[in-house]
Amino acid sequence: MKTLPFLRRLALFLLIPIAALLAILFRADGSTDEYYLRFTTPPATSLVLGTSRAAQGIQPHVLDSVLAEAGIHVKTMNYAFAMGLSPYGPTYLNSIRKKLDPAAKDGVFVLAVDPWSLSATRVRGRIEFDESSNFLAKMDLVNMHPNIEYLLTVYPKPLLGILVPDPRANDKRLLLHEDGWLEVSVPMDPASVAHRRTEKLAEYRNERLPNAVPSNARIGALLMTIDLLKPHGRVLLVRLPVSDAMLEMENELMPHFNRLIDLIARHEQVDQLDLSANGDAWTYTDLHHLYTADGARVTAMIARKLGESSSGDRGVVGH
Amino acid sequence: MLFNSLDFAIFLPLVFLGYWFVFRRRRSQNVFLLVASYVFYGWWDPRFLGLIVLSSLVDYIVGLRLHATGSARIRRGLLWTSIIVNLGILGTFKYFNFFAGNLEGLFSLFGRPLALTHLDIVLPVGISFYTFQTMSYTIDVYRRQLEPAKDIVEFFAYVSFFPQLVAGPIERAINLLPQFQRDRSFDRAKAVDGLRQILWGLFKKVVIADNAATLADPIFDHYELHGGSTLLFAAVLFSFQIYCDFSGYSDIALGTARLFGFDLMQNFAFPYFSRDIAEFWRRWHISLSTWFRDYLYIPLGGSRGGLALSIRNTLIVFLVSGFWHGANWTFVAWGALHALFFLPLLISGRNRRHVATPVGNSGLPSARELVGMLFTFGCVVIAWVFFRSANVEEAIDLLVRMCSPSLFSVPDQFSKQYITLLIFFLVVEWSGRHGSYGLQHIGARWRSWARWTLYYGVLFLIFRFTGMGHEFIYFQF
Repeated sequence: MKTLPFLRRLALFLLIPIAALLAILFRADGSTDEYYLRFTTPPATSLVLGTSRAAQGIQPHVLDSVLAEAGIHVKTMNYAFAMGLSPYGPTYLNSIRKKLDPAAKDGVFVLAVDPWSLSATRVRGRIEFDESSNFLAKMDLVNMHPNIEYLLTVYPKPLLGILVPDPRANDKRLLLHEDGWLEVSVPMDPASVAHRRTEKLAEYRNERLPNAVPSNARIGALLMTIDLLKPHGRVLLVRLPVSDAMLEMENELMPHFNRLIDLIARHEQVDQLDLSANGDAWTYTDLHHLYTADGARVTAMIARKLGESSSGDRGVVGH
Repeated sequence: MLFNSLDFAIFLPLVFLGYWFVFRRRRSQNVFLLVASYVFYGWWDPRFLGLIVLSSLVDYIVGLRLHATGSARIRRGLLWTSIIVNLGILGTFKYFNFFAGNLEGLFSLFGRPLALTHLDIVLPVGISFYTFQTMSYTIDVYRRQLEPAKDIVEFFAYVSFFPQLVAGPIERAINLLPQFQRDRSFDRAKAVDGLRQILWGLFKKVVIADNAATLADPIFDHYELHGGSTLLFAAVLFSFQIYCDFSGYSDIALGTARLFGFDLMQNFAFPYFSRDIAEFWRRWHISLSTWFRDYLYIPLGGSRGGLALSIRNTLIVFLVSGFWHGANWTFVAWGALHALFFLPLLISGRNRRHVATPVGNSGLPSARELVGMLFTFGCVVIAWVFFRSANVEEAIDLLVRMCSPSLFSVPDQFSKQYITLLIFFLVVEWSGRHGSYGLQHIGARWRSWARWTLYYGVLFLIFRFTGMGHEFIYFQF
């Protein structure tokens, strides 16, 4: 048949490009971007969920080591992304389903919650769920290395960008660890922090807050997420620390947020940890993202709470 | 499914292998192509498959009935059934809200506010293309220029043939349907040529069009912040973006079809080398231009009724052609502007001066040809501003700002890298202007290693810029 010689020659021609492509794909790592590595690890038995606060603030290696001291041995994956990607909702829930090891037992599941992750956006008078058409909704393969689906369909830069660091990164360096923790290195001098804080404040005050609407659909999705995870281990709802200015806005958005979480925790019979008091006592890179050192401290507190809850204690801890 | 996507990169080899190795008989190949085409289309939204099935079914039945009856009245009725169903689908999904909005505007102008229902629906991908394709079939059968398809699979496969389903070329049944009705054998030379055309199409899309979009979009989005020369630069960029986006898609479509033994019609013939607007329209989106010529211009009387009628018909065709692109006055203005450029040539009887490909003695265009090309390109660029803008006011404002003294300053946005790529692209296109696509004959007589080096170079550039992630513009039409 004439087709076979054609295919042989085509294969010969494509040998070099495919080899080069594979070589590049295998080079992708934690410096490729802030999401990639999370889709390259095996299905997870313990998870950290939430938005960018959790992605940057909760450090799985700290969590695992503190829990190990309490005799709980887990391997946690930080599967938190960003507000535009992973507020609680069907999109995130579907992705969590794909990432969760169905055989997981005695895992730990830290669900970072805040008013933003339980709100939808009002766009031209309509309530919209921003994440419904993003890549998290479209990705089928979240446990593959290298993750060809992500690199070829989601990765927003030319593939050669994997080999060459982005020159525009300047003073902001992002490093995604294999456990999913996103380490952000930015100048922490007072002027730089103040600048980022002002920018974030303006963004939230002027753009996000006026258009944010508390969403029953998101609350329902949070309940479904808890229901999904409970059979696989301990679930803890955590409200991470934020600056007082951010807390003020969150109180405007959902004044009874703590009560809501309390109700959810009781209804679902899971633990909760509120760390939002004395927010300004912590160090942030901006308005609400914990700085590395304080992220580790907060993670340790979360781990201790999980350790406590394993011995049957259930309650609210403040900072 | 996008041609420049991972999904398609998996889909195409699977369909190719199934087509040539598993389903070797014509009928089973047709069934397989039909299923593959529906999978290809349903990848976006399977709900809209119902529209293609409906459109295909109506035209299949109408075609058979047209053939069976001799009654002129019944035949007219059948023809109108097909037209009403197809244009009804198109009108509902594409134009309903436009007409409702304009009617509301008109009533409020006279102090009588009107609140009409607006449909909250998504425009099905490629709807303008396949409805025109099925309509042309029925009209041809009505005119007795074509025997109707007896085999429902052949007809459905013709309507939904995946390489050209969502953005053309708008194939005539007279060309494509017979290809489904005869046995096809693998032709190595044709397949190699198809792959080369796919490669060139991807280059146009990924390297030229997507890069142009990355540079032009921010300028268009905040055009009020830029000077005349930068706005001109953005308009030129958009001109290359839309050409390479659309003709790149056509190249991939034609190349893909060739892998399966099909020949689709050439949709673009190096339109930016045209020496006047009339020539441009013989080279741009040929399948649509000839569709309007055969099914609108000629039925309206064409040029048979004297100059006045010819002008009227030309004007109608350009306006309808603009409106076909989208439910927005900007597209109508785009069509009107082209009519304005075209009519002086028609009136002076100079609209068929440039029919042959520009040659040039030394491989380069003559000075006269070059001036003609630059002038034509300038007209086309001005018209594209309307096509790209959100509304007519914005387009006019942008053109006014462009024609300010800052037109003669250095653009504040410029990319040497892009200009280099553009020059490479234009050199290849000019060198290959006698073929069907730029890369077709380049390197044909070279040794294999030299030719492969060229292809690897093109592939490298595609690879280098993959990931810019722009959809094909013409999908929205």
